[in-house]
Amino acid sequence: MPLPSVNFSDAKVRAVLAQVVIVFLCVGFLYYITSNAISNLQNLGVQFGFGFLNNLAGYDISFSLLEFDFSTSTHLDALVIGILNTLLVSTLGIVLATAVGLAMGLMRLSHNLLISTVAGAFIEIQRNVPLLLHILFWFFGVWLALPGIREGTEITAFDPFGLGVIYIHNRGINLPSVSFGGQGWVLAVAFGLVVASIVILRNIARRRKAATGQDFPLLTTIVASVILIPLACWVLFGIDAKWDFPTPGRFNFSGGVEVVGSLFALWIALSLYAGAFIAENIRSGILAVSEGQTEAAQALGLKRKNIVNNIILPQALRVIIPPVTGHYLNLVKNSSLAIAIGYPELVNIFVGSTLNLTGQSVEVILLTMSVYLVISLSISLLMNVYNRRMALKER
Amino acid sequence: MKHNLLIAIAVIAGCASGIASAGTLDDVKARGSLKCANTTGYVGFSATDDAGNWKGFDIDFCRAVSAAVLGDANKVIFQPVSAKNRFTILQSGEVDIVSRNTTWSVMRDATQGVTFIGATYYDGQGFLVRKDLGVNSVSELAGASICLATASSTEQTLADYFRENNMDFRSVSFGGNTDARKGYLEGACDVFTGDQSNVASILLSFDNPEEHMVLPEIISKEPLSPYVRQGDDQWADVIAWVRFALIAAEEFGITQANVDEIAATSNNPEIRRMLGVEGDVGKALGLEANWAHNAIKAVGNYGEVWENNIAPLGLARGLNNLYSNGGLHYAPPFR
Repeated sequence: MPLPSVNFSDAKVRAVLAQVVIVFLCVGFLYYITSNAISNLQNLGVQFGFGFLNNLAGYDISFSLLEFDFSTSTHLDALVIGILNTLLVSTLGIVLATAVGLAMGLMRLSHNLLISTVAGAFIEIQRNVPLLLHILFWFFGVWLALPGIREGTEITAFDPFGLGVIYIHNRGINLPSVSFGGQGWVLAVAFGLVVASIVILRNIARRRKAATGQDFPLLTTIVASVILIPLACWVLFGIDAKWDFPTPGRFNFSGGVEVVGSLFALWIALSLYAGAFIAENIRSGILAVSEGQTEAAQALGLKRKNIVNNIILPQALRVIIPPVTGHYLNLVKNSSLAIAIGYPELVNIFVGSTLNLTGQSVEVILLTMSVYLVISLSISLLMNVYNRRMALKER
Repeated sequence: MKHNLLIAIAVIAGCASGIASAGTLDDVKARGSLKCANTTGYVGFSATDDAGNWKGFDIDFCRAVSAAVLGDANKVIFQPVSAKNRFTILQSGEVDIVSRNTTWSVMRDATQGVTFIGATYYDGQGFLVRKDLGVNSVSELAGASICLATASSTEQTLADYFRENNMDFRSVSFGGNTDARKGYLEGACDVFTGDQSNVASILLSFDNPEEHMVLPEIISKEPLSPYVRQGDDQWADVIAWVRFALIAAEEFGITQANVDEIAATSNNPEIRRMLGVEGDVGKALGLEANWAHNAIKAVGNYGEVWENNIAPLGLARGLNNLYSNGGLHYAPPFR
């Protein structure tokens, strides 16, 4: 069979060939190092396989969103708990970091010298000290320094409202929990109605604006529906809510839920750190919009609110979004530093305890890397979709 | 072209997988130094003194091995390692031996690719509480918050014990012992748990040790053993017999101070064989004739190593006595 002739003098052909060779080399190298590690471990008596995931984990996890019982839960359960805890602190962190970044970025732009200096100092302190030190500071320096849970042998703690409903101490925060018996569906219906009403209201607002040019009081009506719809559901169907309040026990508060202090310390440290970087992105994004745009809008007689919402922000966002995505990704990955303060996220639980107990290092590391990859790619995807919507539409 | 590449990759893969170690004993001799993994800091077992030298029970064992193999106790390169990395660092060939208070258990022996050479220290898991907590027994700890270091066998034994006794507890885990100690002192938990030796070491480091007490129960067996890579029997034998030599030396009354004299004057055939005055024990192990002599000269016998490092923690010898004194340490004969 004659081989198809390849014209090496064609630059395009050479480029494609080079790419093929490089991809081939990379894949070969990855395959080689993985199979080499597996065969070396097998020589030492370590068998490759994921069967260990169904074995009893046999250790306790200090904080979990789902039920985790050290006498029945498996390593797979531990993996799920770890992923959820990572997602929890990442989500909280991304929300707070964005708020901090927005506030600090705008303050940095302020013409008031005091405000812009405060923001500048905050940003420099956050950006120039390693994150691990921030985390250790917030946990060992701040959270553990809170008053303890005990006076003599009596369990008691700081009660911010004096109602015996919420307690704050250096182990965490005790909150009341609520369960709805068999009427969870009422809650689901109320939630669905609220979401639907928001979509409808936004539609009405857009149509009215397009048709008549008038503004619709969107914020007020949304707030009203968020309050009124659940209230109506409650009146109509009645909800049999069972509140469970924290009560002092022998060693800890029992009842309600206890959120561990390490979560708060990690949350604050991650958010402030990422927030400082985001603040700089926001500042640069806003400064990237030329002064002439504002002046032109003012000349047209647009209101300050409209100038910011319709002229500056849309142009600033396309500069802001790509780097901010990077900081979100960093925040998720940096949450693995929690091992220093014992917050049970993915790396702490899975690469720590499970790896130690099972010795399946290659499998554990592969799984953990895949989980981070999926989380990061999902965030990138969402942010890219948002970015495409915000990007300048050139027609 | 692709064919060439495939062949090249296959050749590289073939070569690299053939680089299994030639024999750790030969490697160590050729290198002229012993690479020993130890803990990052653990008073009595492995901690640096004011001059920055490593001191402790686990350290002395590596020094004894170095003296036996290389004739010099100071040819050890210490590599402090966290609990999490202690098996990987050995598997990957970065160290020759790990002497780092590690519990010998069946799963580790069977799945971690390591060979445990025998307990140098028989330990058990203990509990430390504040006296004003009003607790006198582990059985009163249902629902308590317990500080511990993650990635240790402590985590598992604790859950095992509470499961067996149908009690609940809350673990407050930290990345390492130092942080767990701090968490306990700050009141992040009611109880600190760890190996008994660890608990004693931590208690000693407090400003007001009289405010704390160790609960009477020991809930587990924790035989702490050094270990080497699986599959190198010669090296494992050498390490095992260094341990036996230190134990036998105590039994024979051979000390750091009198080992030279005993080697010169003893007419006990077993002592003479062990110290290399007659017979060829050293040669059989692949070592110099005076290997045991060097080891004892470097760190003393097992009892002396204990007195120098562990006794200051206030721990009784208990199970760590010689078998003749009611303990578990027993060396096979040198013949």
